[in-house]
Amino acid sequence: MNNGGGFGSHQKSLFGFDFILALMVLALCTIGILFIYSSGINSDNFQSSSEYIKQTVFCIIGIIASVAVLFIDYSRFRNLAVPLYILSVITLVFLLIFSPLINGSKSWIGIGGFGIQPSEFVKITAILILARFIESRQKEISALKVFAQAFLLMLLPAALVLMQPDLGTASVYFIIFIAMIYAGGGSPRYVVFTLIVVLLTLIITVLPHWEVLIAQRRVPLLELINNGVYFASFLSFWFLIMILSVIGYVIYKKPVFNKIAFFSAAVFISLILGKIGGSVLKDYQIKRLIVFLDPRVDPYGSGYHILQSLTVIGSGGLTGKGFMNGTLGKYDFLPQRSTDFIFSTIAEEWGFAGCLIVLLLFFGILTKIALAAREAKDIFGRMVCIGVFAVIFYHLMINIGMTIGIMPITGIPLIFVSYGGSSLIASLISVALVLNIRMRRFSI
Amino acid sequence: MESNSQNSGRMFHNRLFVLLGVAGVIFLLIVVRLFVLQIVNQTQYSRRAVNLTFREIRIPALRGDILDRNNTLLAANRNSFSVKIIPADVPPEQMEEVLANLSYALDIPPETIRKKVPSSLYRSYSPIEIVSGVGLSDVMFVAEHGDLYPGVFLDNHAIRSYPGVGSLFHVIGYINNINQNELRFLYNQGYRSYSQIGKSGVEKEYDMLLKGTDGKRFQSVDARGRTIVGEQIANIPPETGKTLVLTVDRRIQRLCEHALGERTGSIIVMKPATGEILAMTSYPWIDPNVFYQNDNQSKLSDYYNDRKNPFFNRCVSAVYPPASTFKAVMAAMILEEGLVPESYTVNCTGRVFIGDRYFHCEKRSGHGRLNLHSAVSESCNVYFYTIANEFSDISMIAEYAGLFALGEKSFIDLPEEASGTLPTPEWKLRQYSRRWIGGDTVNMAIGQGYLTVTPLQMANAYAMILNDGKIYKPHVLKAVRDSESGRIISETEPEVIHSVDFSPDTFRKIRSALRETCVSGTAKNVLTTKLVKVAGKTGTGQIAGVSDNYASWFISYAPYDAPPEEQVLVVVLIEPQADKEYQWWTPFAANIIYQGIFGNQNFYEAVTALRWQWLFPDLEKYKDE
Repeated sequence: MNNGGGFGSHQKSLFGFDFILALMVLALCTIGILFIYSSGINSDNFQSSSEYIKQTVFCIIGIIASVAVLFIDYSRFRNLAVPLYILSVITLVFLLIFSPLINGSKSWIGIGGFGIQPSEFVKITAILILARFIESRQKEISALKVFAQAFLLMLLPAALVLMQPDLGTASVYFIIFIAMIYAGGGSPRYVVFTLIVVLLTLIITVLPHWEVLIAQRRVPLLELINNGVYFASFLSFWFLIMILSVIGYVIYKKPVFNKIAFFSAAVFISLILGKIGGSVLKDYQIKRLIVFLDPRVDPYGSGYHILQSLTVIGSGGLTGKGFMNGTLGKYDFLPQRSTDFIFSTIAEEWGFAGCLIVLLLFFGILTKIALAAREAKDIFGRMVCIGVFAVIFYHLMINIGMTIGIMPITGIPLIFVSYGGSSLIASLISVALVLNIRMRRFSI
Repeated sequence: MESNSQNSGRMFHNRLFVLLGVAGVIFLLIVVRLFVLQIVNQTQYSRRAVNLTFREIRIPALRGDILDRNNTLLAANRNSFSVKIIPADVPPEQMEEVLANLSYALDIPPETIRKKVPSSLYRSYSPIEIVSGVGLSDVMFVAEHGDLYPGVFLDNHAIRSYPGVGSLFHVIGYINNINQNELRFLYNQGYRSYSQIGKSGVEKEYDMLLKGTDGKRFQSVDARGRTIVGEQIANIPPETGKTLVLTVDRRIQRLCEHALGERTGSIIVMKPATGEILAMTSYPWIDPNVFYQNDNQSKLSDYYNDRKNPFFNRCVSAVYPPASTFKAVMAAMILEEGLVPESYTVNCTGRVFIGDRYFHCEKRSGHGRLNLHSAVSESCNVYFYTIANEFSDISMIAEYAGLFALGEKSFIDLPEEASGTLPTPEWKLRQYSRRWIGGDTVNMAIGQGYLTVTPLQMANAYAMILNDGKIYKPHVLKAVRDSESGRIISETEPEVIHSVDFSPDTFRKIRSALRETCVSGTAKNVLTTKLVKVAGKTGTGQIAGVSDNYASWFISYAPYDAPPEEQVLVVVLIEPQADKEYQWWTPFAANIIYQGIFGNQNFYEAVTALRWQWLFPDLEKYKDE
């Protein structure tokens, strides 16, 4: 059933073009350009920024690139996946060595007057290589070995992006991995195990800072992590439980031992990783991760953005203040209002109703991509759709979540909407991949 | 196989459904949160949006002061007032009147004000600056009659000022607004588009220490950006930059400045035993205060268009042939390698035939027979031509020039240091695609040809002769102090950057030949100061490529018979023009400087003590310094 797409599929393909998906994506891009325009207007009602023109140009470039992608049978990307992946890794290494620091991170390549952020495009190549890998290992997909190999495949680019340092973008690779390996048939045991370890590690990393910054009192239980002796004993305790339950399982074959071993191993690993995370991450990075829990503890520092964003969104009401009539966004209250916080401007000027429109568009796009995944003629196509699904969903969840104060600040843009050339072009290309897969869904 | 793939298909559908379900739950969460924010709590937020939003206002940090070694203020911050207007705060019917009053009170043409406040901005809440950089007396009238000027307010901020900076411009430098290029590289060091940054000298080299850290004020403002009076929320105070104490002595700097006068060139005064720069003069120089004055355009364009480039620090950035001052290096080579016995003499007839042409001596009639000691003090070219041609080669000469640290930077703490050129046959082939010839070697032996050095490099090379083989890193920063408490944070320790292992005898013999130069040699009868014994070497060289340009040197030190810790080294360089005007001036300048330093006299007193009033017809103007 693999490699079904031959020459013949080309004639049928036009009828399979998903106009609705394409229109919904273009609608979001248009809303993006409109609000980039609106946020460029300053308090004297002058347009003080040319970002909206640039974004329009990026959008056109993205559409042209997408059309080009549509004409190539996606099966060809199966063979291109490996060289693209190698090229991506080389580019990321190159960036770390040669790229100058721009705004605190080594993520830009300058070409002439333009800058490109390669990590945005590497997301696509990561999806392609993982889709190819899962397809080729379909028979043993639930094995631990395959799971681990897929993990390493994503860890390499993620680690390189993490060193730029860009924690937010690096976390995207993890989501791609989890979504694709789960949908691709990986064992739920391993998926759940990985999720538990990541969540626990995050919590253990930030807990000491949480105690100081948010709780602002001593939490006796946290001595288990903060105090070196207690921590060592706590760690040994879980290690012992793990060993005992493994022995118990081997001797008595009772499933309950298996479950205990599973859980204690997760805790044991998370404790170690969390301790490492706490020492590797800088104080201000951890602060940005948890300040959303109570932005008032640092109203002039890392909580500033969140408080201002909440005020701006809250003042929007049901229908908003009208396009370009927002006041708060304009008077420099809201930093980064065309990039990370563009959703706040939309919420102020179009209100709750406008937010619903944006959210519905996103939900419609995700549903359409899920449908394309279901109808794809081969596993490679399916997996690519799932990867794109995961990237879009993760971006909107983290970005919108950040602006409404329920997610940490990570600097992830709102996909299709936020100002930024590399991000926009890369996301349009990924949608083109999905359209491509849907167009060629009938195997002939 | 068939059922297996059907199985996997069903499993995929189930898992896809789970993913979509997760997405649905998150969407629901977002919608609920938005509903709470925008509908349930809307009134609370919109009131807060009108009344309680706050804005971050930058409080600029004061830049650190710069002092000389005796704590004389060289760079400071001066209060300066600016008059600003918020057009929207002026009642529209009064606007014309207010602008006319301002024009009268500040003595500015009405058209200038109208250009700054066009009618399109009458409804703007952003303040517009009418004038800046004026003293309190100029704005007194406006300050006292506030009721006549609705919407007008005074702003007080600090601007840089360099009191009595004079020729210290090149050491201290100046600051100005950051440009795009600097910003790209320095963004991560905390520079922003509104930052000011050191453009040259110490201001550039130590900008990070001087600039301090900006503070922040959080001010309540309403939705249109208007300040709500009395609603200040919080302050993070700015941190003043560090105070820098330099090694330069402004008294000595003044001596050098006047001794050099309006002759294009440079003077360095240095402590050989530590590398401290006591004075550094380069003519022409500019007055950096001009950058912060109103209506400075014509003066600035004069500076920028001056063909002698007053921005250029000739002490560290200009290169010249070392000319006869290089003979000290040659003498070290001859002694150290034992090329000829000291008693060996060469008969100078005024010229010598080498290769295919004659090479001439400065003294056309010839010096007669002389040994190394008198060849240095009399500056005989023929002696060095002959030795170089018969007993050594280019690689040996280049090696010794390198041992004296020529051709390499000393990494003094000033920007744009040049490294000069230490030529070798390979270098010439690369640079000019021509073979090295014998004539190049003999030319180099008298410091001519391709060899070029900075005055600072020559100061270092002669410091090595005084220190028996050590060069200390030249520096202008003496100490860093906390600006509030005056506590010393760090002090510059002397640091050896270069050392050689010659016999102490070699250096002693060169020093004695240098002394001879001032007693009976090329600089006799000039060093008339009674206070110290001076030793030194003259030199005059043609600047390669520019046929009418010369470099005239006098490198000297005093007291001759004291240990290096008590000595000062003076390098004088003048670029005389075509007519060789002032070629003879260099030892004269040095003599005045020694008289001033060791007699603790200012320029007027030193010149009078030397009875050299005839050299300075306008000496009276220096009397009260």
